[in-house]
Amino acid sequence: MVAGNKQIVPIPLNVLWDDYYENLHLAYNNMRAAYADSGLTQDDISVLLDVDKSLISKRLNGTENLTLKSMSHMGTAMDCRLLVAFIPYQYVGTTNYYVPTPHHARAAASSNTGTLIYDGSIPIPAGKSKELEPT
Amino acid sequence: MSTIIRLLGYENATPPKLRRFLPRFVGHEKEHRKVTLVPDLYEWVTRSVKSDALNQVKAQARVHFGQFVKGAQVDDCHFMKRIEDRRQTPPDFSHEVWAISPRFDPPQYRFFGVFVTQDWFFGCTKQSRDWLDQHENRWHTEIDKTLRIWRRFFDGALPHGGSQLHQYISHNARHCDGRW
Repeated sequence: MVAGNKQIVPIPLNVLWDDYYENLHLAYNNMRAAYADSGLTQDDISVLLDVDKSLISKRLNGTENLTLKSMSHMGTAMDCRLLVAFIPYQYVGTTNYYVPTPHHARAAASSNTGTLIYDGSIPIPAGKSKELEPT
Repeated sequence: MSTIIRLLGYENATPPKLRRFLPRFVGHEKEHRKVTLVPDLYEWVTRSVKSDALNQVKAQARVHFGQFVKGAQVDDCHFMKRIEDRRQTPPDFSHEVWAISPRFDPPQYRFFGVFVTQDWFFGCTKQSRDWLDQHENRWHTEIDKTLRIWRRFFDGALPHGGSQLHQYISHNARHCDGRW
């Protein structure tokens, strides 16, 4: 297929499936990490979401299909915001790539110098610049 | 001769007697750990087929192995697990056979193998989870099958062993299996 001056060919199906499961793995691993950090039990989450405990167990064991809705509900129960980010392949695998959040946009907009101004809503990681001190 | 040298000899033979599994790397991803597979398992994992359902199962396996290779966080109760030999009392782990467990959509498969050395998994055989669930002895069959394959390639050498998870996986591994 030709689009403009570019020759475009369909992405092979196995690449699409590999990326799908790669993304699913990432979401699942992050959900499990958040669960481990939350200090909650499966019982706690099942009460918070008013669902059967077996459903929470299935989600955490990867035996239930994860959907944006189910992950969002898990996030709400664990006091976490679910962030979805599209990272260009060229940055995948780097350790210092960060995902901008609405917080970053607010912080940047609050500065007329373009310097990132910290609004004090999250702790400053040790060793970070004083630029990030609350104003 | 060291197990590693023998394994590399098998990988570099023409045709290869063992195959290194390399996932699709993007960006800065690279091979942090190694997975070597017997040829028929390698073919199964990497070759596309007509069935869309089976292609998805294979993609799950490729991605799961890929996570291991890329150095993603793994654990010893969900991602992979030591297999118990319940023919022994108490249940025995000394055979050193592990199962790697891709999850998500059914049908699920378990991939059995041993560590050649730290951070290097040798995948020998696979079995459907439904089949394994039918009887405890089916797990034992896979242990025996895995060790037969190991001996066929590395007769006289023992699989890599350890008493702590970091002796198998050097970094980014979480120990959560309370059985050992």
